[in-house]
Amino acid sequence: MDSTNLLIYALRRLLASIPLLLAVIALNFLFLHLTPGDPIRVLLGSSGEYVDPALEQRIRERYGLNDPFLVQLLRYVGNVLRGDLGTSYFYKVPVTTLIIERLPNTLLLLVPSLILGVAIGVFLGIVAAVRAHTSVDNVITTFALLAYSLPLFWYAVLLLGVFAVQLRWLPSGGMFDLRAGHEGFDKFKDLMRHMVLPTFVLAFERVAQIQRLMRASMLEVLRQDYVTTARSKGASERRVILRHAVRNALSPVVTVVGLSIGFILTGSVIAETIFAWPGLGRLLFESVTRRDYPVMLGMLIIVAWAMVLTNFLTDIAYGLLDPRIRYD
Amino acid sequence: MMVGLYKKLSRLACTLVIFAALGCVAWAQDATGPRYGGTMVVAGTLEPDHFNPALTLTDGVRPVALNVLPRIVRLTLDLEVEPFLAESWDISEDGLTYTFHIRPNAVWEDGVPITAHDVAYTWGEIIPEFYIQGAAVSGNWQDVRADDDHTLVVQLEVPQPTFLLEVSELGILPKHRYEGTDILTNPLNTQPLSGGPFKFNEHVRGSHVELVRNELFWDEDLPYLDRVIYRYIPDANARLLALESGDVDYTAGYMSVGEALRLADQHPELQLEMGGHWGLASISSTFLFNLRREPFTDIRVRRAIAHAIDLEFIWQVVTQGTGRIAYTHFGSGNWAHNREGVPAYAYDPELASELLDEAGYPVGADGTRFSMDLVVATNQAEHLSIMNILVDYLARVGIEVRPRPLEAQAFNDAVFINWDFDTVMRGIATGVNPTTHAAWRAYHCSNIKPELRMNNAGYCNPEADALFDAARDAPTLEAMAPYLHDLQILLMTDLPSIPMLERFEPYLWNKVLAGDVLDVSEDYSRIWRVDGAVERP
Repeated sequence: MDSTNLLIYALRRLLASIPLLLAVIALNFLFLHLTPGDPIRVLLGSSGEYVDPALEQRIRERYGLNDPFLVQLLRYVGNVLRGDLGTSYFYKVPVTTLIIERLPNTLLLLVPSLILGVAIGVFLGIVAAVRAHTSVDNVITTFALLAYSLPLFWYAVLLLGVFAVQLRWLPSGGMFDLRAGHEGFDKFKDLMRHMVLPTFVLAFERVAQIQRLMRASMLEVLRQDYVTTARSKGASERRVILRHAVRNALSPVVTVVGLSIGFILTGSVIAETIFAWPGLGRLLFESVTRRDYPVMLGMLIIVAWAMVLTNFLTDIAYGLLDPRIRYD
Repeated sequence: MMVGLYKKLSRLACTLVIFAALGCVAWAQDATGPRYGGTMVVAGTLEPDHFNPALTLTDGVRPVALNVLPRIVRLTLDLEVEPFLAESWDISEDGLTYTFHIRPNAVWEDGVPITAHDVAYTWGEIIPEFYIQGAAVSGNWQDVRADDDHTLVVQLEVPQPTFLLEVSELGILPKHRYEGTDILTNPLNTQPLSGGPFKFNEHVRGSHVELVRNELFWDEDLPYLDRVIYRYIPDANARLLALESGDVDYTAGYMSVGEALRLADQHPELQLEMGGHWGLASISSTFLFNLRREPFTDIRVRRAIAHAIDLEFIWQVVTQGTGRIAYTHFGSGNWAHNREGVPAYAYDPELASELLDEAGYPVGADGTRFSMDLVVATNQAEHLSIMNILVDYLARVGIEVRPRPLEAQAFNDAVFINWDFDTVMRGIATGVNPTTHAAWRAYHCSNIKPELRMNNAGYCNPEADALFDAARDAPTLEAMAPYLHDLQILLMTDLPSIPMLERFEPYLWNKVLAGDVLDVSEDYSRIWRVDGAVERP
């Protein structure tokens, strides 16, 4: 791969993403303001209390919510271009602070669950393809279908019931055992225990999708001439599968993994809410219920940016997997 | 005079079965005697944006703020007023002047004494301008002043027999740390300076709040616990699972009654109590008409609908017998509740049909008389259940109900701001003082405004207004009561809404906790762990 071509390609993609992100901001801003509900009323009357109208008016002015829609939009876009995502109506702290605070917690779940999900999914996909139409394939495919069909919130609660309540092997939620207040290495071990269930739940969702895709892709590749050639040359079945088939079958999987970042964040909204995990997913969920526009918009911009970035990285990965791809 | 009034108030409240039951539980647990130390983990749902009770007192703010900040008085479960920051108080003969004697040994966490000046500053300057309900709380306070460090005087414009009840949850702020600052952005709003039984230790956003024992609290014996952790668990199932697993010791409300009953049945280590909205008892489910729209302008239609609904069945199914059927527009736990002579609408579908025929709504060719929408907030499980039952019951008399479940904020817009509904399910609290609180806002002509929790039915009867106003100006609870009784009769006669149910919230805790686990203001200082130390370490 020519590094100069790659650099030019990257810059071109970066420039093309700017109008896309601006459009994302404008559309999200518009849609959020069209949704019913008012952030100040939520802020003041979250428990259904009566609100003094004069106080409500003062706070509305303080946040500039009495200005015309276009003025609010232009002000927001201007602030974003300066790197300011605004201040949360609810927490009264900058949105970037909230995101930076929560991002590591989400990555703690997202990265291992993605690695685990992809690794198990790819492995099961290979096994199912190699043993296609046998009882092994049937068992794996049935498992994948089941995992794909079950709603995440259902099996998350089910697993909590089994492992946290019945067996008491794992904690019921949160990141740490707050009562015990562990320190040092014990705190790390405590964190690992709290990560098990949410990581597994998020990985489970990935496994189903990746396995099905990998199996289909492998079956396609195994029918190709170069695989037959490799076999006729006397290459071992292990070598044929690992050296010739798997690498070529991975391309569609890489595409899906890249595109699924957004869906994983969606999944983490549910998982983080059920497991009381203080991450970005839960922040997004709570900001929607509170109509905390700056946080909602900030999160949506981050997700859009992450999608652009992962798409770009996916394209780069294609080149690494398939030398025929050029960045001209 | 006022002592007599509050004895009456307590007696009325004590007649409630729920309070009697709770009292028995408390006595049984007290027999083991208090223990010291340990941690209680509470599962909460609503993470607040601040902990300043002089701004708002939501369900998220209350348990943290009222355990950290001092209050002038506190309420017992049977609504008796007990000393807290004020050791004692005097009430003038005319009921217009309250003089509080502030205890001399109370100090803030930073060592500065808590004085009458702190109370005068909070009540005189912060509450009127910044408290969410503003003038609705402080409108009758003519003057709030500190005569000296330990004497606070409150001068009222007209007698307010419910004054002590109303101020019992107003937290007091340190004047020396708030004066001259921007009240809304003062850092103590999120890191309160303690003057109560617990100190604020930390708030990890999206996770928890930790409170620790305040060693400078004036009562050396309290609190019994060393630490309270308030964990925010937004999902209801996850909250209950955390309680079942032992990770959490206590949770209150925001769960289905059926789930609470199941848990208590399956787990002998868990204690379940059903608590109402204490003395402020609410009508948790009210079926309200939009009186601006046909056919609800016709009283015969409203009465027909009341006769077409079997409240006994709804009560059994929805609350599984734990709540109460509402017979007036005032909650049965409220001191002003009186159902004597109040019109009742027994389940009688034939009479309902007759009334609808008489009103000019005969059954049409399609088998219906008319159709109407019913707006319900999707976060109100009780209202959703009732909605489904109403569809069936009203269909039996030829009324087609079109359910319109709306997300909470969309519900507020449709129901309170745009008045875009035929009928709606909403809860209406009665309030400590029904003449200035929720009931007044819901049924007084002056409150027909497109604002939250106001008179969205559009009900206006000058006779009802006159009764509200006369009760408000009465000098004592005894003098207020007859007006409010007449008002309950009038509201059930006019029927701008049909009061249906009073819900009792489930309170669930692990029996490792004892003492006053239940408290009107969620004061945790009198709770102990049975596995704690016999003496304070």
